[in-house]
Amino acid sequence: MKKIISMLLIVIIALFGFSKQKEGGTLLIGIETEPIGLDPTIVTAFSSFRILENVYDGLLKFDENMNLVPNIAEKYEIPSPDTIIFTIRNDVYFHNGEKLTIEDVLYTFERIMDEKVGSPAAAYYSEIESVQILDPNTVCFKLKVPMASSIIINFASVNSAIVSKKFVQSGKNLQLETNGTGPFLISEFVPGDHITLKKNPNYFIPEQPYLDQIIFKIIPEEISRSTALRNGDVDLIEVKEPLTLRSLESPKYKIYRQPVLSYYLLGFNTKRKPFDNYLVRSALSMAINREEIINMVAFGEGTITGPLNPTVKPWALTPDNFEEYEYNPEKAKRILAEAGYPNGFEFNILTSSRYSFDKIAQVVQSQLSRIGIKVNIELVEWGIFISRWGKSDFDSFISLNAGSIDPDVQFYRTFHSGGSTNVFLYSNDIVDKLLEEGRKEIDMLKRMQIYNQLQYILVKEAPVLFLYSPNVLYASQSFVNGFKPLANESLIFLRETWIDK
Amino acid sequence: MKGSKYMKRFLKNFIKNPLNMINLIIICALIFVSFFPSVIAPYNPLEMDSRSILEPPSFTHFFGTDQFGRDVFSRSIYGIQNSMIIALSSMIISALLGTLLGILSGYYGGWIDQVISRIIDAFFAFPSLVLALFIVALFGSSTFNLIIAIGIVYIPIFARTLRGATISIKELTFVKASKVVGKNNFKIMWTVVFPNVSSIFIVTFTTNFSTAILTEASLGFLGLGVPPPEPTLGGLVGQGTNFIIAAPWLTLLPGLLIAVIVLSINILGDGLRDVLDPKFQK
Repeated sequence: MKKIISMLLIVIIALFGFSKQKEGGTLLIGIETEPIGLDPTIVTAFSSFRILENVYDGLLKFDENMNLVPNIAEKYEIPSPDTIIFTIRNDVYFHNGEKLTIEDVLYTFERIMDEKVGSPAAAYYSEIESVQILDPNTVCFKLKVPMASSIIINFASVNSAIVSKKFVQSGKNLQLETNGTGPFLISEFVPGDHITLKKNPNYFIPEQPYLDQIIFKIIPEEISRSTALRNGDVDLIEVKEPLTLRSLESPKYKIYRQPVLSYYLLGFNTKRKPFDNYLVRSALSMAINREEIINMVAFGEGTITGPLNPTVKPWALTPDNFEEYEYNPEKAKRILAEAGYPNGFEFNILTSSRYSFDKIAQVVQSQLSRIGIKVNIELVEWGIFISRWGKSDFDSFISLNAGSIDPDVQFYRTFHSGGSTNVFLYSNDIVDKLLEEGRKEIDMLKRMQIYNQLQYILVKEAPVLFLYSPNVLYASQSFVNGFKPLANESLIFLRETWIDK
Repeated sequence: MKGSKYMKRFLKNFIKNPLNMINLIIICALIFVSFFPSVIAPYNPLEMDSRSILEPPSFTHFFGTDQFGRDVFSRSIYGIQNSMIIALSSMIISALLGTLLGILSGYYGGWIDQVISRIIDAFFAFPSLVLALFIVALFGSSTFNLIIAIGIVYIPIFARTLRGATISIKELTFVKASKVVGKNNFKIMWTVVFPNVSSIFIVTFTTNFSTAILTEASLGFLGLGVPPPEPTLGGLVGQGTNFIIAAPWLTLLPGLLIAVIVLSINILGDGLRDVLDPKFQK
């Protein structure tokens, strides 16, 4: 009898649970920083991306496993490596009621490539020769270089979101006013306090979004954010300090973690002694215990990464492929002796206190002291850090680089001789040749071979030591459902988030 | 002869207050710690240990350990040393320059006084912490820059206090007498004026010494103090604040140390004022 009753109960609960209304409600989110500007074409701040990706749509978007999926474009084709053709949906409307047309798509990309606008995305599309409208629903991108497979992912970035031609040309300032096609629209923005997003009733996916309203509360202090969650003042928070999770270990809260694509690195100035010798750099790779860094700095919330994040499939070689990743101070010492530094040496690490750079530097300092290398930490203000980084004015530095799911995007500008973010002044003919071949190669297997070879060289030559990718962390009340953090730290899954109160 | 009589009276008055005696013991302990931190600290303050991350206070680690497994008690002891060195060195800078400027402007008056006083006013217009922040941010944070920054910030206080004191005694007969005798101005300032304002000097020095420790701690808290991994008290508190719920000992114990140090130096300053400053003598 008892069994039957409990079975019945389970069935009732299950039915009740499934039939539960997903629609409606307000979600309160505690975020660290407020957006700086609202024009999707020109913003560069992560905090702006997080809001705008819910207000605007690109031609493509990422799913939860970072695969490209259709968005405004209902399908895309790559008939040849220098051509990309998008067919757009017919049922997309801007928030002000206008229909999205192929003209808007064309205008968006003209605007991105207009030098006067100053879009950071202009660099992604610099290899585009022409954009042509084929018919009212189809647009064709012709490339100068056959590199369609590496350019395509940029169509999912916030900077490539489609804006309304009429709206922009009517003289509106997009940094202040938004008119997107996304699931939410900005209804209120009180700088320093909160941003309110309201549901877009005409969103082209009829059942989405589930929520009526999202309020982003700007709470810069980590402790205040976690306290707000515990007090029930907010439903979802960004967690920047992994230790905070210890105070949220309870069935009352859900924890979300996702290794991100960005990675911490120790970069060298490969033109300065002793780092002009690759043996010295790769010896340091063996003298650094990456796992210990993750445990001390991030309390285990991170993943050791090779040149590509292990989640970047199928390109990434996992760290166990590289002998240089084995922590072996004795061997490091032997190699240093071979390279002419039997008694170690002294060098500076440039850091800033943002993003835990200074903490990583301290652990590296302590680890290298075990093999007789003296490290001095230069702790400078963020602006100075950026400017010295750009001028390659350092022996070495700790930093966090944005990663990508495509190896060309990740490597080309960073390791090609004279590349825009090659602050290491690294130059290697074989690497240059592989990079140029890699972006043109369309055969998947051949392309993989190229990038495998490149990854081995990058680890062996070590212009930078790839350290680890941190986890992006969120915590929510238990009644929040459907939220998923992405490896690119995007919040687009807010459109599928619902509240079960 | 006269000196030792003063000294005796001074000591008698000072010892009369039992608070001063207790305080003196704390000060002596502080001085000892600053000179011989290695005698007291049980661990190397820079030694990391991945097996003991964020341990709460215990008998092996009195103040617990930080996220790198470093012993917080040892770090606090060396932090006291660093904080004391910085505060003392910067006080010496501001005392030297501030006293010089103050006596000069008070003694000469006229346009010299005008120029010096306006410059001092300009410095006073900035909150001292903001000024120090500005200097450190501009030149980068190192122990040396920190000493210079805090030193500059406290110059105006010395200058203004000693200017006032100098003005109040320069019209007195013994100063005028020295002039009549034909001593040159610099000699008068050094041998007549300074000894007579020295009690005010000592009081200003001690009271501002504690604020200098606080300024250093505030800068360290804001991440602009001595660069890591060297510990300072403010730096320890600053690094701990992110963990204040999960590991409160990181913030509270070094914070308590700052409070005790500042309090005891303040009490010392008050005690000295009670016996030295004529205004406070019954």
